[in-house]
Amino acid sequence: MGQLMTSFRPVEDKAWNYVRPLPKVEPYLYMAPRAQNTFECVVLDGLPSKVVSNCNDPPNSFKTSDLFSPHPTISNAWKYLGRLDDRVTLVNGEKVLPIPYEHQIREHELAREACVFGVGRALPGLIIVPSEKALGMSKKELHDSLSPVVQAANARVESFSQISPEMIEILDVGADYPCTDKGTMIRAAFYKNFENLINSIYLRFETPAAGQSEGGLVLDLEQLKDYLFNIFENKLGFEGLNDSSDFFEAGVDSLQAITARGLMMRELDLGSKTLGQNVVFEYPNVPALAEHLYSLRTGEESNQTDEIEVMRRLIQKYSTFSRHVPGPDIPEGEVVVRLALLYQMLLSNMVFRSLLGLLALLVPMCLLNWLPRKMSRPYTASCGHHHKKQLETEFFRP
Amino acid sequence: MATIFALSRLGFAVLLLSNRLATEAYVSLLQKTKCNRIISSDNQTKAVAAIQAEMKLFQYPVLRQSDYDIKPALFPRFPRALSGDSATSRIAFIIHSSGSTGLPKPIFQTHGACLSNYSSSFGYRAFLTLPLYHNHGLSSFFRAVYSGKEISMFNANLPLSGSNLIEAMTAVKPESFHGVPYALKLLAETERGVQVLKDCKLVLFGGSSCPDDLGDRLVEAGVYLVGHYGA
Repeated sequence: MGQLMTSFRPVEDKAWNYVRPLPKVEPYLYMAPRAQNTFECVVLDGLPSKVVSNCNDPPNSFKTSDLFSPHPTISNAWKYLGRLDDRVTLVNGEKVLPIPYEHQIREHELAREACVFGVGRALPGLIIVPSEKALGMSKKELHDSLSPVVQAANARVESFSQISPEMIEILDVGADYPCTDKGTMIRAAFYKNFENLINSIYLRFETPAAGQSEGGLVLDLEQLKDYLFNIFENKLGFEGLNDSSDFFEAGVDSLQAITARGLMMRELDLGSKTLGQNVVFEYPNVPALAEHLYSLRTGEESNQTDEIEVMRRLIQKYSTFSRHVPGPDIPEGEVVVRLALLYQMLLSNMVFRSLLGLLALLVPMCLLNWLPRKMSRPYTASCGHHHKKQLETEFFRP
Repeated sequence: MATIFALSRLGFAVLLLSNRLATEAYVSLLQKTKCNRIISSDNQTKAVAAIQAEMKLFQYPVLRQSDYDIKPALFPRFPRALSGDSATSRIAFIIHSSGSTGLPKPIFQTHGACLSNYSSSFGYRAFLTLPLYHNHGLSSFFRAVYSGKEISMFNANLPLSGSNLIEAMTAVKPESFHGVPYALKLLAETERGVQVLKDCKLVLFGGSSCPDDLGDRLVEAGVYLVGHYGA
C-alpha cells in the first residue's frame, strides 16, 4: 500500500499517536464507520501504490481491517485501535494468534471461555472463565486440571506465543464477561473490562511472591550463580552452560530472556530495584548476571569486568615489544639450532603447499649430511627473533 | 543487497522470506509464488534442507563481495530486453504477511508501485533496526537509495539490546531512526538511550502500536516521535 498516514505534525502538537493521511494519499482514503467512534481504513481505487483489492464496495477498493478512532479536536487525525481480525501484537512486534489458542483451551470441559491478552506487552497471558463443571473446585485444583491443555496449546505455537503458568488467571465460575448474544466473547471490551486484572497479572509476574514482601531470596554471589544455572538449565532447558557461555549464543530468545527476568524479579531480593527489560542480554553470562544481581541487593559497586575492559587490559599487557637493534652483535648461536629454526620457518610458511614443504624438508636434510662436522658443536644458543638475519648469513656462508 | 539488485536486473521477481517461518509456511509461499530457486546464507542450511524435503528447490549461495567487486568489469553489462513501460507493471518484490490469520500470504509489488513508494523519502541519514524482509525495512532501504542518502542497518547477529543500540547509534549518528516500539522501549530505559533518540530529527516506529505511556514519556522528553501507518 505504501505509506498512508503518519503522525508528522507541528512541533507544538503532542498528539504523536494520531496519524494523519499524507496529502498525496488523502483523496484515496475512506474511513468507514464500523462501531461507535471506530472506523476501518479503506483504500480506494486509483492510489498508485495500491496493488491489491479485496472489496467491490466501493469498486476495486482495499479494506485494511485496521481500526481507528478520530482525535477529539484535530480533524482527520486517527489513533490506531487494533485489527478487525483480533491479533495480539506484542511490544516487540511479534503477533500472537489468540483464536486458535483459545479454541484449544475452550475444548476442555472445565473451561467456558478463554482470552489471550498482551497487546503492547512483552509477553502474552491468558484469562480463563471456568465452566459450571468447575463449581466447588479451588483455583489451585483448576490450575492443575487445566495445565495439560495449556501445555498442549503451547506446544502448537511459536515460542513467543507460549503462555507461562504464572501468566494465567482463572476467574470465578459464572463470572460476567462481555459477549455477544450468541455467547462469543467481545475481545476489545473484554480487555477494557479486565484492564485492572490484566495489569495486576503483569505486576504479579514481576514482583516477589506474596509472603516474601521483603523481596525474596537473599543469596550471595556463589548461590546466585547456582540459582541462575538452575533457571537456565532446568526451567528453560539449556544444557551444558558454563561460566563463559553467552546467553544469546547459547540460543536464549527474547521470550526466554523475559521469563528469566520475571523469575528473578519474583524470587530474588533485589533491594527493591527493578531489572532492566533486557537484563539477560546486557549481562550476557552467568557470572556477570550474578554479579549484577548481587550488586543490586547489596548496593555494592559492581566490579564486573566487561569484555571490552578485558580486551583493553590484554592489549596493554601485550603491547610492549622490545625493539630489535640492528648491529654487529653476533650471538653465540649454533648451527644446529638455526637449522631447526629455519626449517620450522619454512614449514610454517608453506605447510599448505605440500610440494614446497617437501623441498623445505629435503634441503635441510641434504645440508645436514653436507655439514656433518658442525653437528658436533655444543649447544649454547640464546633464542630470539633477531636470529633470523644471522641465521641466513651463516647458513649460506660457504 | 547486491544479490537483490542482481536478481532484479536479471528480470526476476524477488520473494523476500522471513528467516523465522515454519517449513509449512515456506513451502506454501514458494508454491503460491511458483518459486523454485532460493538464495540463502549458510546459517539457513537446515531450514532450506527441510523445505527441500517437501518440494523441489534449487539452492544458491548469497553473492560475496569478491563475486561482484570486479574492476574493471570483465564482462559487458547484462542487457535488459525490456522497455520502460512493460517493466513498470512487472513484479519487483514479493513480500509476505506475517501469517496472522493462517499461512502467510504473498503480497506482490510492481516496479511502478515500488518506485512511487520509494520516491517519498524523508531525506535523512537513517538508522534501521528492521529486517529487509519487513516491508518497512525494505522501503526504508530503497528510499535511502532513491534519495542518495546513507543508511545504517543494525547487525541482526547481535541481540537487540539497549546498550547495543546506543553503541550503534552513537557510532553512526543518524538523523532518523526506524524501528519497532520494542527498540524504543529498550532505549527509553536509560538517559543515554533517550538522548540518542533526541539527537535524531525524526524517530519513526512501525510494526506494532507503541504503548501510550512510553510514547508520551519520549515526546515529553523532547523526542520527535512519529508513527506511521502503511509501509
